Amino acid sequence: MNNSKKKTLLLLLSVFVIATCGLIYELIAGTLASYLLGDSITQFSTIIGVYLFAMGIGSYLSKFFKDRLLTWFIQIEILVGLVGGISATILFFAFEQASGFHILLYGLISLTGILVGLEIPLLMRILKSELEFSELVSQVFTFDYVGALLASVLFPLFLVPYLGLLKTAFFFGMLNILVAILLCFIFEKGIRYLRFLRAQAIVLLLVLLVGFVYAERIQNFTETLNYNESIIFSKSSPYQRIVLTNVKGTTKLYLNNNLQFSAADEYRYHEALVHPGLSHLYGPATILILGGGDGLALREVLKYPSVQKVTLVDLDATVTDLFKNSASLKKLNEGALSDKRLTLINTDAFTWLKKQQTQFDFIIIDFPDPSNFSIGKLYSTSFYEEIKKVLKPNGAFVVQSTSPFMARKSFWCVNATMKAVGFQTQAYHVYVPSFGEWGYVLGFNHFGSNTVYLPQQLRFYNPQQWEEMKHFPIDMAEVPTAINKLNNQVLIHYFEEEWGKVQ
Amino acid sequence: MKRRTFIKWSGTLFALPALQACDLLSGNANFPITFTGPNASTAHKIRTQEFPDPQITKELDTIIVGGGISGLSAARWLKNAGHTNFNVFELESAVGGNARGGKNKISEYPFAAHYVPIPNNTFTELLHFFEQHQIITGYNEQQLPVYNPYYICSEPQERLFFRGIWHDGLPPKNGLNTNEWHELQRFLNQMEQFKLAHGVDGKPAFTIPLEWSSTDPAYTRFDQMTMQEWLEKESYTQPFTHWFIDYCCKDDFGTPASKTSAWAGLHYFASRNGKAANCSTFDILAWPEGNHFLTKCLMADVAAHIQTQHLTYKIEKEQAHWKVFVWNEATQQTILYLAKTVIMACPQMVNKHLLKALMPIDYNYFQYYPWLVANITINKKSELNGSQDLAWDNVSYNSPSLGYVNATHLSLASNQQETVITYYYNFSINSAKEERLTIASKTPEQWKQFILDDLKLIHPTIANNISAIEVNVLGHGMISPTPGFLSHPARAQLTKGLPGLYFAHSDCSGISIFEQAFYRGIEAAKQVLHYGS
Ligand SMILES: Cc1cc2nc3c(=O)[nH]c(=O)nc-3n(C[C@H](O)[C@H](O)[C@H](O)COP(=O)(O)OP(=O)(O)OC[C@H]3O[C@@H](n4cnc5c(N)ncnc54)[C@H](O)[C@@H]3O)c2cc1C
Repeated sequence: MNNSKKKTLLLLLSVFVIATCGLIYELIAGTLASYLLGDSITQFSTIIGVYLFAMGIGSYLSKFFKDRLLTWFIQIEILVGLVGGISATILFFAFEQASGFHILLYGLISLTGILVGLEIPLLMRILKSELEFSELVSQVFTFDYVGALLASVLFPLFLVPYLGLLKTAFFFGMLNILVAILLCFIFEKGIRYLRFLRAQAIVLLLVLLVGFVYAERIQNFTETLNYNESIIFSKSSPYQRIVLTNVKGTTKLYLNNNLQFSAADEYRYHEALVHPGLSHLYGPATILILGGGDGLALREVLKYPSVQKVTLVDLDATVTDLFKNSASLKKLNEGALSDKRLTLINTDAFTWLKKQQTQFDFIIIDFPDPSNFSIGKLYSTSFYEEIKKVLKPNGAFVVQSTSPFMARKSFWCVNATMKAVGFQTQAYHVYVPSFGEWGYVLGFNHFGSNTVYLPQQLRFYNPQQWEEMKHFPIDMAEVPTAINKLNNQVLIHYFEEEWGKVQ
Repeated sequence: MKRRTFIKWSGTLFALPALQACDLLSGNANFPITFTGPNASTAHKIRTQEFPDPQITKELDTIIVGGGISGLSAARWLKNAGHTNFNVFELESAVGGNARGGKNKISEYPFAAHYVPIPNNTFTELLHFFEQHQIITGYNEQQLPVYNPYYICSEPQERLFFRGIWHDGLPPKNGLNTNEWHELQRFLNQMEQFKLAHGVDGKPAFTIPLEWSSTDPAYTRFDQMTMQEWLEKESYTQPFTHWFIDYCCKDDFGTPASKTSAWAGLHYFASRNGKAANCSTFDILAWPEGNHFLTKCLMADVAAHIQTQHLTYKIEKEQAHWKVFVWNEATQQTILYLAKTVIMACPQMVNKHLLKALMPIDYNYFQYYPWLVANITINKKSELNGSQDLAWDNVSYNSPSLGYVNATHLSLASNQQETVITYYYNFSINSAKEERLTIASKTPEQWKQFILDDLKLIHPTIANNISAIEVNVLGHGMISPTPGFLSHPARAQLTKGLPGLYFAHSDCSGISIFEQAFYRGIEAAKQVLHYGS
């Protein structure tokens, strides 16, 4: 093969790479937009449309490039690598920060499209002295379309599952730049500003490399990737990441990636949390809710006419503000967070509780599952000792206690721990479709067996149901466990062991 | 995500030349470093004794020199005995000595001492003190003390960075190979036997206070060798066993196994046998502010008697009186106190200058190795997690430091992001004097680098996660129990004291721990009470 042939082949290979990369960027943008915004049909179709249109603009603009075509070609190649490589990362960050996300999304897509669109015409002009016109068109487009095929097969089968979106983008960005570097070396003579291009390419290559290496870390900042649902609200409070999603009109709340409720069946969860305890008490007047900043348990509590005063302690003002002010969420909790009987306190429950003097008739404890040591403290004997101090002698309290099916030992450990501080307990469970079997434990000194008062028009709970909820089939039946204390934190170990298996 | 982190990342990825990027990822150290060491300039004046002659003379029954744990414990005992005409003179602006602490907007933290083990049940004076301050909340049917659960160090207590990852526990529950594991078990079993052993005099072989340990030569002979020699004699060969014991010696006594008396070293492992209703012998009591908590308890009992910024610089004997010369740093005045009795609750390196010929003992025998304690404010404590979550005490096998303690570990707040960690380093390779010279020459910038270089081995990007460092360099950190300390005549002389002048500082016992300081304070107070009657 003579020298000129070799160079031709090289240029054609770069068409191939460009085509692959170009399509990959398009796919990344489409996937990302559907992840983040939902409605994948709209997202993909608009992204593809805008991208192709931008390529058209690029092709049109190519006529304004008169000379030094190879130099321009390499410069553009480098730019494609940079923009394509970092666009996914930029979009992730921008999604969490800014309101103009759409503008940025389509801006970046257009920029990539224009740059890619510039390349093919430029290349054809560079090659026109080497090949016949018919040869030229046939070869360039063959490489172009084969590259596109490769990209579209690799993307879903290999790239997304193994590399993830960010790494894929960085990887193909580097590939683009490597082609540019290669061209710089092979065509040394025909290129102006060679040094500048080389230096630029190498620096940017390193930048992308850093991005590639740290892609996981970047992704951790932006867990948004984990949701396969369209996100209608997302915000990081000082304590947690709050994400509201919407699937076919159903709202779901995630805190740090954990589903808190789905509007489709949250009534089951919250009715089961509140009514078994509250409906058996005589004229409960003062209620304490720990956790539960969404106001949904509160909504159930406020259905009791005897209730005079509710104190709700939730750490995160961002959550309570959201559920107090957003129109759709207010509808869900029936404006409970604005009720006159409510005192809302945003602070840490344990430290708050330790300072309390007054006593309550009923206490609802709705904390996240005991998945780490600091939350584990909220399920310890010491915590229940504090509860004892603020619970009236005839009162009761209820603890959400994870799934007795998925985490059987954890569930019964909560039960055993409550008993260890001298309470009598009644464990029960309920099926909540979006969670599975879910468990609660009631703690009390005395507890009547008759329903005293039950609000009208509940959607799930009634006294017959209660009899069933108390019954545990063999696969969830009580198992002996240790007691969760601050200085052993056994619950965390059970929980990790049991949920670890599931995940 | 916070704005700051966003800028950090975008800066790393897009704006910076790649060469610099590497440096940035491993951390830029643009946070303040401050010093909180002891008031050395005033303290050093006792050597030259350049103070104006006293203008005022006052009289008191008893004077306690030094407001550390030992001085405060003596004061409490006197007060409880109805002996109330006394003062405690402390040179610093706050009492507590090595059991002081600081505070910032995130947490309280210790300046030095950070915990006490569950005490032996025979040490009833200490149990009573704990009861008085709700550290013990009651006793169960078997008369075992119930400890306040908020003060028992919660899980995870310790973790060790070993062979590249964090392991739960110290010694670690896993990560050792079979030989290492078996040898360690052999050692721990031997210690369990020592815990139960008694001498021919019927006393426990090893207990705390160590004045109550058996004097049976079968055990006291261990004072003639170093801990290192003892290990070799008992054919412990695994590097891990040696590392572990060396670590423990440095942690408790400020010297490596090769410089620590084996008798003292064995006390670390075999003297604690406390039983409790709601925790085990191996549990410990800790507070965010460390033993400063105990200082506050003691202080509450005797606050009215404390005078801070009062440096005692000279003591003389005149007929029935002790003349105690005190420099009030606040008013810049010298006062002469005439007292019937005196309790010296400051270290012997100070007493040497105060008492001179009055107490002709061999002061060279008292060696204090220097320590560095750094309180580091961390922005995001979750970044310190690893294969095991951040524990209360975090130790690295490869580091010459003693690791760090997490101050907010005992906080009940479930969602605290920031924390303060207390980092410990003990300088004991060369002689104490040489080590003091090396550390004296370090600039703040060098200390910062010194600490970061070590911490980066376990947390490569920690510098990005630090917002401040407060350094406490202790030139004379703690007394070291070198071989022979038990039988050294100076100890007996100090225990006896002079007529009307007694010694309370923990260094009289040879080991520097809370229980010993507390015990010594009581003993000196008893001597004072006895002297009058
Ligand atoms: C880094 C470090 C970590 C430690 N960690 C622990 C731990 O975790 N647990 C534990 O039990 N122990 C620990 N210790 C040991 C601790 O020293 C003892 O527990 C105890 O606090 C000692 O009390 P003390 O009264 O004997 O002495 P000190 O604390 O030394 O008190 C002496 C006091 O006398 C004052 N003073 C000195 N000279 C004069 C003078 N001329 N006039 C007036 N006042 C004077 C000093 O300012 C000081 O306040 C640690 C020590 C160090 C250095």
